[in-house]
Amino acid sequence: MFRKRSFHLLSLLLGAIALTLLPSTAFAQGGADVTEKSTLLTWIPFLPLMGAIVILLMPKRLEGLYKQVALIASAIPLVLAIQMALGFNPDIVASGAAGTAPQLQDYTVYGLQYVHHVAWIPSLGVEYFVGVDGISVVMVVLSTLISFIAILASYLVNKPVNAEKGYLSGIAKQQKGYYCLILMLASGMMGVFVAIDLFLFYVFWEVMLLPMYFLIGIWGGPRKEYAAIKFFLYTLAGSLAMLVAFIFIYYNSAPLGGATAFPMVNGETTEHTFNIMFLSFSSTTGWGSFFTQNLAWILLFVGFAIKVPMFPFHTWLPDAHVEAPTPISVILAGVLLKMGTYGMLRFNWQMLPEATLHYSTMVAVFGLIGILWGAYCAMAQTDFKRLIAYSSVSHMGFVLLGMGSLTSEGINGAVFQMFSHGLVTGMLFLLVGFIYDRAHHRNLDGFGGIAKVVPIYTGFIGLAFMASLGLPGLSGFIGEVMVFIGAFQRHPIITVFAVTSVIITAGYMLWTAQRIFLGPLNEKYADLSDMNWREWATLVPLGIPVIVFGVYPGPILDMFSGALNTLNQLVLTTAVVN
Amino acid sequence: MNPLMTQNIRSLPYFIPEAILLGTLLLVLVCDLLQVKGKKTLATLPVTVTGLVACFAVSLNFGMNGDTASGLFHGMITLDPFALFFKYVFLGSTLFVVLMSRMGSDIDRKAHAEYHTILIAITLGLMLMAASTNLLMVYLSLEFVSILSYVAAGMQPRERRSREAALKYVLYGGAASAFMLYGMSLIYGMTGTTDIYLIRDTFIANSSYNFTLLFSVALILAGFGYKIAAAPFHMWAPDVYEGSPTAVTAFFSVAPKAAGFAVLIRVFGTWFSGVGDMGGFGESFTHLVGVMAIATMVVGNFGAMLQSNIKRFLAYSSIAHAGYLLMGIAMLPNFAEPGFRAILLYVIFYVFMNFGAFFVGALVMESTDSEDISAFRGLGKRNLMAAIVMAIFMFSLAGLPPLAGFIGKFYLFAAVIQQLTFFTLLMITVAIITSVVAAFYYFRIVRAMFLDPSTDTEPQPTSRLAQVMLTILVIPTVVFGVYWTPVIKVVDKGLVTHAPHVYETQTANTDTDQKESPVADLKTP
Repeated sequence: MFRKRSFHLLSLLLGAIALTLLPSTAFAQGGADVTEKSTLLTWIPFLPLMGAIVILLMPKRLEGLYKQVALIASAIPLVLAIQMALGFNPDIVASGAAGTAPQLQDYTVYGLQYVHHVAWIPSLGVEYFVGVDGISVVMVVLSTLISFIAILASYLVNKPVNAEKGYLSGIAKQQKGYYCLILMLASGMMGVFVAIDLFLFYVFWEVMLLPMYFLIGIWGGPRKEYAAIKFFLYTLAGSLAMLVAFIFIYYNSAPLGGATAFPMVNGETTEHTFNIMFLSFSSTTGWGSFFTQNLAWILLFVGFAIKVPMFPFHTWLPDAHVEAPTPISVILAGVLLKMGTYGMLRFNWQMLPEATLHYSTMVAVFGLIGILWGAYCAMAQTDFKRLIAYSSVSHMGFVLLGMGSLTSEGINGAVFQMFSHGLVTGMLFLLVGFIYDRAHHRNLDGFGGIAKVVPIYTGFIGLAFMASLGLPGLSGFIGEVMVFIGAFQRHPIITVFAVTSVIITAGYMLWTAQRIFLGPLNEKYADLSDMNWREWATLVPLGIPVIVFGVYPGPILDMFSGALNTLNQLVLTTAVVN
Repeated sequence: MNPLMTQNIRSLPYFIPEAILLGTLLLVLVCDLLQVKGKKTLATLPVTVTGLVACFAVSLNFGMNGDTASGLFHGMITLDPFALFFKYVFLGSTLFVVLMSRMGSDIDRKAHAEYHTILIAITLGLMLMAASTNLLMVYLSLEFVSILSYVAAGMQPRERRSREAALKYVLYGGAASAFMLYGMSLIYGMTGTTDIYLIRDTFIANSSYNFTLLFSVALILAGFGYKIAAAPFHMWAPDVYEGSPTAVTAFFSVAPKAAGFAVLIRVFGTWFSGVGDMGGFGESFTHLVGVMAIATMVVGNFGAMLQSNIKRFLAYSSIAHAGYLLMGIAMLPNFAEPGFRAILLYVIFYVFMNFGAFFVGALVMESTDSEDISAFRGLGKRNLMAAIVMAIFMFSLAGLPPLAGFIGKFYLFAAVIQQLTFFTLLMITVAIITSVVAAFYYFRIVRAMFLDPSTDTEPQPTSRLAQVMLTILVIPTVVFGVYWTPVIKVVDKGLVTHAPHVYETQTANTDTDQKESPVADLKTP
């Protein structure tokens, strides 16, 4: 007992030291000015990876410390990300960059801050290039927060449940592998949001797939193998389409503004570049026909749409969610889905604005289909987790609708919805996991009246449901209403249909609450225990922003509105092309 | 002295690596004869290894010093960076296979001397293949390799499958050689020479669309396609791979395939890269090879999906990889260099990852005495390190970053996408779909190792030598996936082939010999 406690104390102490020292050293290297180069954004994605290596090297007798190391390795990036967001200057946007010659002296021309830029494979024009702009800064915070919560939530499901059925809901088996993989996954997703080099982006994007496959496939539910390979093959097909588009863009770009070649950070120049900012603002031509730009746009869109997941490609999501362990569901819904819409903004919108303008209505229509399809499917579910999964399809439809509206309100609402949905769905999946740990099933009709037994749990789930269905005062409302306002200006009929989904969402959410919490008490669950402090600890960091930013969304909106309005203008005027 | 003789003697210093191999081959045989009955066999292994290493060292020395010469032995072979690049690949592969078969038990210990002899002789043949600059030499070296391969496939004469494999190999090989020879004779009929550079000059002189040329190119492609196991000339591969001893299978899936691509690049690269469209011929060539690539990718990947035998599975997987590589050849008339660079890069990465897959496969087959994929079940419990390493090889073969296989695939895809036509779009679409299929079947192994339940949890440790060899294979697979600049440098060096005008200036030969065309040589009795 003493040994165990001293382990905890030791790890907490180490964590505290690391938390205080590391951010300051990272900043010391970069200087306080956000426009200077710094290694901060390298620390964020690579600290979890370092944590994974540490766990891999730890001997078996320190098994109890794996999760502490994992928690520390995900807490430091969170602290760094919050510091980064606090120091972020939202006034720096890429407003004047379009059509200029590619240059490397001043990254703020492209709206980038906290840049770290070194040579990698000069012969191919590949560079290690990370940075944040308004579009990605919120996503970096979200991904670090959700990773931290997911690892904290892995603590909870520590006991074998339902051993007679032959599987564990918890992470009691093979802890080493689990924490290594979840940290690798965290690395990959943080990397995706900071990469400003196409090749680097692709590597981070794919690095995420393998841990996810194993995390679902080893620690998942009864049909885990099926769900894991389905997730993997869907996403791989999408990313290969994306890869072709990347290569295609790479070869079909030439510098603008009188430049003859793209500069590289090591002083050389390259004929073709993977630099996302150059490709977005400082290159064009070679696109030849309309056909070629459309082809690249569609390949990219399909690649990202599978991840979102957009309506015809969404079938992997319910399977993956149902089989995945709770922390993995949280990551999947909280961050991975956002990578799809982030990718669309970063590549389709920013690089190929002309085609985006052409296809924007199509995006909105797909958004509408997703909203309604997901909502109606959610209504028909009896599995709690499947219901939440379909509600994710529906809510990501709002993001697509907002992006497709090409209005300032719509696109800001879309990104706000991404952020808000990450928090709310994270909460919902955690809550589903908690009840599953206690009742060992997720059948909505198998409960009844448990509000009397677990009032605090009911309170939290009420908050999450209300945020999810868009009750004013909670963050879900802000995103939805902005999307509707924006979309109505451009696609009134689509919006009218989309608004009906609010009623359906309220319908299935409230019906679910009624089935589980209200009515006569199911005697089987008369002795359910209410939330313990660890469960509190995972929910509170998600719940507070849901309320705070629901009442006062200003700080979040300010962070990205400048960059998004610039991007929206870029699409509308298509200033880059020609 | 006879001028022909002089040239032969002057060529000899450039032939040292091959000569070393010849010497080793004889020495191994003598060692085997000298062994005393009842006593421990005289170690043929050290002799073989020493010979191969010496040959490698000398070749490397040529490469480092930039010693190159063309038109050796009357324009039969050449010593250029391109040939040297493939020599390294062959020697490395042979060395690895010799060590690998040391650990297996499927080859009779008493037959190891013969086995080493055959392996060395095949390597000699492969080196000549990569260096040939004359169709006659191409045919001879290819046939030399083929005939010895038949013997190697039948290295377990008591096993019915091994005998069957050897016979199938002979029959298919014979037919493919006949096609190829017919094609070569047509080319000779059209141009009056067998020297590939002189043939190229003829093509440049009258560059017009020519159906006979396309026909003979297709016939020659049949012969080369047989060596690289490209569809529809792949039928022998699964049976032969299944029937041969595992180490030999690993060798077949790497070295002769690499040699096949070396000859393809040498011959077709010389003839058709940069000659322009030749009145529509370039497009026809792209279509011909491209259709072959598409067929190979489809057959290989979908075939692998259906297999349950580990060796057949790896055989189909290697067919699939040949399909990806053929895309690089198909792009030859317009964008030769990116395609060639991608192929050479891929060959290096493929050597590591494919040998790795075979090596772990051999370990598993050896320890479980089963060739079924289910033998991998529970390997994650029985031997975690071997399972992780195998997973890395599988991911690399499937082309996932950040592993070497992805970089190879990236360069290949990039070479194809450079020129966007309807046909390249079709090729790339097939490549994407089959890549997803490939991920599915490579993941079957991963799934068996980590996900599937298994009752057998008894630890199966690997020997120290096996651990060392696995480390040697897995480190490049990972490191080259993250930083491959050194490999690109080696490849760019290896891309240099010698055009005829280069060899006129570079050989130390006098002008008397140069004025004699190789055609004249052929006519001399």
